[in-house]
Amino acid sequence: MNKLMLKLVVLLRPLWEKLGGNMPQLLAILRVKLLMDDRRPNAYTQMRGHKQKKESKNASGIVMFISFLMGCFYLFFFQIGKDPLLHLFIYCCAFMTMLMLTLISDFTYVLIDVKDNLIILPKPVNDRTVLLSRLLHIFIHVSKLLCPWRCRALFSWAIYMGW
Amino acid sequence: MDTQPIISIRNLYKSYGQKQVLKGINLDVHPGQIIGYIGPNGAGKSTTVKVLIGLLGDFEGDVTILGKDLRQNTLEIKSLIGYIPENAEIYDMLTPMEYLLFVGKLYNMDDALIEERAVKMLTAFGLLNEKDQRMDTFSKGMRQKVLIISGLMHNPQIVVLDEPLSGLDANAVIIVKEIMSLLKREGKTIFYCSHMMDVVEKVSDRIVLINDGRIVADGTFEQLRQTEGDTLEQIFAHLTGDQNLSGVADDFINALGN
Repeated sequence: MNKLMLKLVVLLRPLWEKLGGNMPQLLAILRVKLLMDDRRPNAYTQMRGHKQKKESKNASGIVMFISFLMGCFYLFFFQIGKDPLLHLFIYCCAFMTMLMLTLISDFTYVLIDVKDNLIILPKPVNDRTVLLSRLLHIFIHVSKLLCPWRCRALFSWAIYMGW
Repeated sequence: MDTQPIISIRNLYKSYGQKQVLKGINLDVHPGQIIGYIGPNGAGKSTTVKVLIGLLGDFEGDVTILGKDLRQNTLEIKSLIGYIPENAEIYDMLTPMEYLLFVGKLYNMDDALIEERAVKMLTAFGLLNEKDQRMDTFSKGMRQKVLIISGLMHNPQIVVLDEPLSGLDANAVIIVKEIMSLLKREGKTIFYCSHMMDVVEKVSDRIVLINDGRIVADGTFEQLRQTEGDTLEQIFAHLTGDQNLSGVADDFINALGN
């Protein structure tokens, strides 16, 4: 999964280099960040009890699965009323709320990590690379949540519209 | 000394908001020296170090490293400096090997070279068996060892150590001291900040004492001893303590009594 994401990043290499990023460093930072996301106990995996016998290795995989399930539950909103516009409106509201709550909890310690200042900044990494790595990390993090979340609803919507 | 100074600091001023922390530091450091940089809490030691490694950009004055201005060539200078921070900040979800590989890549080193050096250095510190374990289970000393390795791995010209011995066991302290003297023999410059006077006294060629943002003493230990006192601790207390220290301790304990 992470490899796939990194490959996608590599695909756009000319763009990042044009923006002033140093590609090997950017990839190194992203790889480490994604690796740490996978290992960090997060909001969903913490709920399964305090003691974790096994070190979490694929936490983001679990998060993706759970957000897929959540996406399935949200299909419920399509049962209220008859107006398709209303369905989409409620779905979108619920979606945004959940996204906001998840991001608030994640942003505090996953995406804005104060350790970065002490670990990355003394190294010869230019500011653009640091900025790009942050943005890309946030982007990957969010898309990992959103893609599985909305795919079920998109699928149903496609059938509903008769595509 | 007639060699070109490797680090040259001229009229360095730095303030945090209203509070001026560094009030005109002038310092020349020559290659192959171990500088012991000491001072009381809040004197501006760590601030000087942060300026030197390029973390703080908004200072006044000139800092030249290897003849290059710090502000213009920040990246180039950062790659010449190895910095070992005081508080063991590390990505503790990673294993030492992964962390070192990451740091090495940031220094644009070759993968094979990083691996070779990392394995050798971990072996030297006795951490080879733990090289694939996550660092969240590590003790402070073990993390400090990993940090020391990550600071020295890219073979820097200047090594900045900020309280490097905290949490290390006695054996590792001996190893680190030995490493410092070997680095010195190779012509590397070491900038050593610490509160442990006895260590500073033994390892440094030159001792710089700062107090309240100014340099108050500068010279070899022998020179300082002639003017001030017998041990570095006494010199330190004499130059920076503005009151009777045991009186302060009495006051502290008396505060409990009333």
